[in-house]
Amino acid sequence: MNELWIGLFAILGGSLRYGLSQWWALDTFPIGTLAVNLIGCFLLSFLNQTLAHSKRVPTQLTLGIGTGFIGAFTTFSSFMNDAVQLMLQAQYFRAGIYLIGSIGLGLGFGFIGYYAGRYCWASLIAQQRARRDLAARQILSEIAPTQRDLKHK
Amino acid sequence: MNFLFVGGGAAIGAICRYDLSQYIKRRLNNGFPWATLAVNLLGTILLGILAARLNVQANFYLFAGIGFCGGFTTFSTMTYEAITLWRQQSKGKALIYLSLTVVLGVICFMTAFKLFNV
Repeated sequence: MNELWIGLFAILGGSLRYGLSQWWALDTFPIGTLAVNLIGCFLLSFLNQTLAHSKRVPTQLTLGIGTGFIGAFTTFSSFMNDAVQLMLQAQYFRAGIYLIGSIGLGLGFGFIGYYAGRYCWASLIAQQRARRDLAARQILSEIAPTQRDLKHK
Repeated sequence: MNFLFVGGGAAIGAICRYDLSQYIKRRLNNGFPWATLAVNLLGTILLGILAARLNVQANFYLFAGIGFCGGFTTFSTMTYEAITLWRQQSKGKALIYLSLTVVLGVICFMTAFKLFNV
């Protein structure tokens, strides 16, 4: 059953990667693959710190978006293809920049997504807790006087 | 039409990645992300062969290369696992994981591409 969700979301992720890399293509540098991978790093870290924590969101949906959509959106094989093609054209400097840049920026974007997700999730939880506390206090203030009244009677 | 080939390939690729990495994780669960490493290297070798041999058949390359290999391999999970290693175990382990994947990936792709490029 998980496979079905992953497959459905992967169609979207793969098509979007293809569309983006067709739309943003340079002859000199594989900017499309780099952009797609960095966006995916941010999104996956963010998702794993927010939606994945939620008990209301079904696991299959998180799995579909995380493993299916973002997993198929980002790609390692094209990353290697781009780097090796640059090397075969004797553009070692560009290949080096591409490899180290992808990994370094990927980590950076991943960490930004991680902390952004944690922050958003924590503030969401805090908001919910504040709302619940307020509601509880209102109920108590309605109940408490009647109890006191009952004791006096 | 191109999107159909890419999307179909990506769906099959992503399902294969999920099932294969679940299988590897069940067999080999020692805290190091071997599953993603294996999946990424396998997909890289496959794309190396495809890029060398089948560049002419555009639709098949769209399906198998961009679709299947692209959906099978993943960059985001690799980065997220590196971040998890970085935070939970050690920074060194995360950097070893990333450099191991990249170095082996380049070697695998280069070898496959050269071997099949005739």
